[in-house]
Amino acid sequence: MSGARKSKNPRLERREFLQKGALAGAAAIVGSSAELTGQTSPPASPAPTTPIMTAAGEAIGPGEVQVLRDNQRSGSDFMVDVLKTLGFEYVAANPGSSFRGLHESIINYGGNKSPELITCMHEESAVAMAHGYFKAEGKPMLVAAHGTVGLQHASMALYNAWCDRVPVYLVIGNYNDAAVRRPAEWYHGVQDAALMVRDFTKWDDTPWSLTHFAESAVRAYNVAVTPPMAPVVLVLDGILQEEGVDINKLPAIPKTPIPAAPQGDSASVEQAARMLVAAESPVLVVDRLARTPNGMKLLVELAELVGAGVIDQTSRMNFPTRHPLNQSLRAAAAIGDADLIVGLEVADFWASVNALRDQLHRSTRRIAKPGAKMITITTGDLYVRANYQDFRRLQDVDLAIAADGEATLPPLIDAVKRLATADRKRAIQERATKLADANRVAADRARVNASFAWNAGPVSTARLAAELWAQIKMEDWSLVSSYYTSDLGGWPRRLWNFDKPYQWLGHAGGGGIGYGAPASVGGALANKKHGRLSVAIQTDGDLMYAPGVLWTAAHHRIPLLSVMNNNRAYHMELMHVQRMCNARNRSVDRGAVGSQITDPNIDYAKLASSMGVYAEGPIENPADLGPALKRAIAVVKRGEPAVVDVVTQVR
Amino acid sequence: MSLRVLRISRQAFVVFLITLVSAVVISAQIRPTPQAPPRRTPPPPKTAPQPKRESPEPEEKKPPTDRGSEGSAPQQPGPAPQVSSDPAVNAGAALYRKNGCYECHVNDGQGGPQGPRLGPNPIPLPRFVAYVRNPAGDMPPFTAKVVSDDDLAKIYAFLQSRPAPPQVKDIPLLAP
Repeated sequence: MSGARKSKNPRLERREFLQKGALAGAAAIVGSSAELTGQTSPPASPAPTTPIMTAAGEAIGPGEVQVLRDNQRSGSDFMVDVLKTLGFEYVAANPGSSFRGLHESIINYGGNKSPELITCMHEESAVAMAHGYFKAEGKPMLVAAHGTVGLQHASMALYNAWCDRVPVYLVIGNYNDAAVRRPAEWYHGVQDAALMVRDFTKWDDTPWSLTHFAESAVRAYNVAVTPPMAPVVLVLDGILQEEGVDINKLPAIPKTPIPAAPQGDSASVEQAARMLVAAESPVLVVDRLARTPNGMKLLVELAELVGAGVIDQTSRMNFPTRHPLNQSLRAAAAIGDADLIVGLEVADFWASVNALRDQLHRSTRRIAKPGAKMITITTGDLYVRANYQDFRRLQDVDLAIAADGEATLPPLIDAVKRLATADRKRAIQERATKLADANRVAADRARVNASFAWNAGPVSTARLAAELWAQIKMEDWSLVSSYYTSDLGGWPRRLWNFDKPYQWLGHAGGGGIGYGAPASVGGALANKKHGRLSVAIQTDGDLMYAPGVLWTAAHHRIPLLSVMNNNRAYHMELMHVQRMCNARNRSVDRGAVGSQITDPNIDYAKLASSMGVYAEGPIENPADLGPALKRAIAVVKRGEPAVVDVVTQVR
Repeated sequence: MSLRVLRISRQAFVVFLITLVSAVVISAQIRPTPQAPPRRTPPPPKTAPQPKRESPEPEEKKPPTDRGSEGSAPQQPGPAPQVSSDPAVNAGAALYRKNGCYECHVNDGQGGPQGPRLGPNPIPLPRFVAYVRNPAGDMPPFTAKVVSDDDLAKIYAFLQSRPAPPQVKDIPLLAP
């Protein structure tokens, strides 16, 4: 309970004010109305009139006009004090009256710095920006939203972040006390505001006092960033934000440190190390492993120690693309050859060692060889929810360690170093040489594949990737989003040299389209202070979910090059419908109905320039692409966003 | 209609005419100075190659059928129209697009993450047809009801006609 509530009965005081204030206001309006019309009494249902200041109206005594006294702060000022201790750089928000108190405190009391308000055109954009920002910066971004309509808009992006195990720190406004709601606040008022997203957030709370807020705000941060990480929600009561609090009676702000990530138990780690050292052809499959910049370094060390091939499933920037042990371009073959497969923070380990045939009658087959041993190390075993089925099929494994993958790598590396004998080290070296050869062959094959349709128009996606690489490879670049790079066959991962942790931010997580554009802007916002050149390969269908984020990038001077992968359809969905046509043996030519974005074609250059973003395109001739990219990069280097619309082949 | 109403209407009509004429005159004076689209930064130099803008009309629009506006097969953003002296190749290009082959095997048959490269130099026609009818992997089956053998032969001709790519060593952008 806050100090203010202990000293008086503020709720009673507030209601008293509201009653007096309301009566005084009504009297003033009635007085004005009477002056205007000459009537002596108002009609039973007076027609709406514009109040006019009159001498008679002003003669009426004032209501209890309330402003904060000198010895008071608003509740939301204190909330800003607490949020500042958590180190937020930015708060992304589309404005909403239920957090008007907090909004005003951020911009005035907080000086609009740490956090700085980022104006968003949609709550889904705000949350997805925070999603991308976290993966570039390694710390959460604050998001503020209306408690009902705002949260409903935000919910899809929250689901993506939850599936992707990314901590988004969301505060939502709500007037909990029905007795003080303005008329519009009834539509925006809700009994249990966080209920609708509780299935896919890690924790939520509704503080009833400032003491409660301070504890829950710090707890929410720690819960969110402790692996397994996930979004959290705090519901901020509107009155708690707006009420005055005696500055001498403000609650203390907790200083609880962030808990350490859970590490695998020593016996299990020792057993895993023994299996790795003894294996003849181990493979490390990684997905959301690298939580911090140190994650890639640790994985390289482990892979080199045991001579293991690495398959990067790309939800994070786990392993350098041109490292000789990288076997991602021949993943199925590497899995098929392996006698030990280790899954490190793999979301879908079953699908890593099995295949499902998507025909009318679905069937599965194991792609791992018979007798291959399997180990998993994942926080997925520490966190399973009932409703949403992100936990995937259960794969039989020989050893399962419920722990954070990155936190478990140091003791695993130490154990491997202890156990590796000279004989094993020789075998490991020979294996590494063979894997390096296989890596080289796969890379050469990728370059040959890229040469097909090289001069075709629309532009091939390989040509797009190669042209873009030529323009950025000498820069300190970061590919902040690209749907097709999420695919192991995506051209940037085949042609570019990714070797720094921030050069790839992973993908949406939940497969909800609309992530790419806002997450790119969020990633670029994080990259801005590091001076990195942020680049996105932006699909057309994704951008059209909430293109207003381009305005946010322009307004806040967020440097980002978005290269449109404009293939004018939702091609993945189109394929699914055509598959159904095939299965039903009818009219495959009609499979595109409902999935195309043509007639009319969208002019993305005009769309972007209408929001103040430098733009070029549409480009269909591949020879025009390089010069256009060069011009756009010059704009981005000046600190502004740019869009180059490229009409591309289907994939 | 009363005379009063008619009188008001006449007055309104005269006012409307004056307004219309004024608007035309004013707009004619304004038209020579069109507004440039808003840009935060200067446009590219005029000497830079400007991509050709697309026609607002779809490239291939079929007349509506008795199934309504969505009754006809939609425009397919598949491979670009073929310039070939062989009608079978051009027909094959259209069929490749119409039947959605490009979705996995990409616009020019070069292949991608969802399907292998088909051309140039496709596998022999009988094996090609046999695989399309009864694929072993994830590819959906295309029966003779949805694509005839004759149509498959035309698609095959299109795949055969795909140009060989430049040598990788001749493409500086693909240097390792």
